Amino acid sequence: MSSRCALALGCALLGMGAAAGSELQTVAATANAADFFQLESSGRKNMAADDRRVGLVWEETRNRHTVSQLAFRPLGDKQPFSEPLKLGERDAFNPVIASCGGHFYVAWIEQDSVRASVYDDTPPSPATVVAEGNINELTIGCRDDRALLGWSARSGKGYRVQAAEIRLEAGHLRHSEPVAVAPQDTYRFQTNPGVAFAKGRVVVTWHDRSSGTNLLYATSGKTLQQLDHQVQVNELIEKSYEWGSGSSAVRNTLAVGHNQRLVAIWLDKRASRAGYKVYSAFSNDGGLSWGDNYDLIDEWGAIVPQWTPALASNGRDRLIAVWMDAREDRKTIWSSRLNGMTWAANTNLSGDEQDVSCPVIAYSPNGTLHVVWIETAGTGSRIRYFSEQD
Amino acid sequence: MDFANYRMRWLLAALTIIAWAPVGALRAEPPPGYTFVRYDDGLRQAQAEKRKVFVYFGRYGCGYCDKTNKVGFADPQVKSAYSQHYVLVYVNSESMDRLTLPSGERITEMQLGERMNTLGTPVFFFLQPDGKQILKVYGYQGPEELLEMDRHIQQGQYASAEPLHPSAQ
Repeated sequence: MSSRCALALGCALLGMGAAAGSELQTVAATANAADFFQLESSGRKNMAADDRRVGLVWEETRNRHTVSQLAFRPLGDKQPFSEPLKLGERDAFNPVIASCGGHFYVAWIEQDSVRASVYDDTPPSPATVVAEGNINELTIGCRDDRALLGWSARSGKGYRVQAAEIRLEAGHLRHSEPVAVAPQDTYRFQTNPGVAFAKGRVVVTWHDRSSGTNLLYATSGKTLQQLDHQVQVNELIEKSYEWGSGSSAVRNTLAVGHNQRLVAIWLDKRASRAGYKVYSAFSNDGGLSWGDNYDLIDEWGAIVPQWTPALASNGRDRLIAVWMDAREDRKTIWSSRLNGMTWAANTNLSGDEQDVSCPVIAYSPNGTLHVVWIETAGTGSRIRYFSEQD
Repeated sequence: MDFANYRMRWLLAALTIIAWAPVGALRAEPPPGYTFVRYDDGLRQAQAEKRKVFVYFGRYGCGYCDKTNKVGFADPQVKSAYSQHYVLVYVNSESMDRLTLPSGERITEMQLGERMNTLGTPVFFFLQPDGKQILKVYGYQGPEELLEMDRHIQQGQYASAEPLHPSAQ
């Protein structure tokens, strides 16, 4: 048997077991073609889990109004999700969620402002307005009892990424003054933020096209107010007529893995006529420096574009990347697990489900993997969920 | 198009590329002098005016977008034909800006690229006023190609099964 055949068989066997053998349930559904679900946020931070619950946030558009919803599900077999809780008072977009210190921090965009709240075993804290402006993208990250929000907002003719820390104090959610993460005279179009804590440092990533193509940058510091060191994360393919000003790096997302090693993945259009590929980079020093870039996509996925990458870690020994591609002529959720410094073979997570997209993932601390996607069929769509012990 | 002509066109295209080798700052915006609008606004306008739609997917750093702007769309005949015949739509294929589709769904411009199966940029679509796809073409388009595509669409040749562009990359 050739090595290619052996690998194909291995992948097929791995793929077979993906959705099969784990529970698959519907979180929300609509049979109305005019109603839509959306799982979209910067870094795809729409799900989080602790050792008791998993929380999911999503957008729901009905009658041309978009609300953001939150639902929880206790861990354990066959446990359903709770009835959705509406976030905010009016139309609300781009919800994100993170779990740390025993709390679920939730944020969303409502009336051109970033709003945040905390959900735990007590009634939710009143929504706090963290920032106002023409805000387009929002992300979240947290560690211990500190949570960090990052967003991109219009600023003059460009965009800038800002970030603020949020913290629960005596039942009230407090936030720090938002700070600009990088000078806008150098980085004029800062979008798609990612945020994390690692090695005692605050880390913020974003992409910027001021040089003519989208490049991925990171900055870090001991506190948000001390962010002072900008580095480029993606390897730049030289400008040419074939590739224009160089490769593009977009849709980045961050996770913190074993030994607080930072992992970034993104869509990279560096040398592929088949569209975007998922690439990664690692930082072992809290975002100060980043190493070589590694491709996650195997040779079967190389022939089609990848979309909507997401990343999750349990902070110890589990780290997984997922994305959607149509290498088998239908939209399927694919994944790769990180083993040390090596990305494992691509495996099918959505099994035989049809026309699936927009994956989001989270790990419980014990290693239970939670996976959600949107399934579209006929005139309706469903948010689907399954979990498995990784 | 016979094979010899086809090969000659590719040779000319390659020579053109070499001649353009030292490039300045590349941009990926709609060409100047045209009225390109957002995808959602364009579809609404097309339905109201019962006009066909020309959709241009570009991105910052896309060399062939820049070249299509500077060569293809700089041609006065192209400008006249496309401005008259189509609602012109530009999509930044890497943008997270949200569009509200006629159905009411809100998706990002990048998601639109995923749904329309764009492998790279530039990609050009001709759509019926109701958004149904007529033609999809990849890569650099010079004035001749743009005018040829316009004739193809205006004369209704797309109703036949003949492929227009064997050279679409």
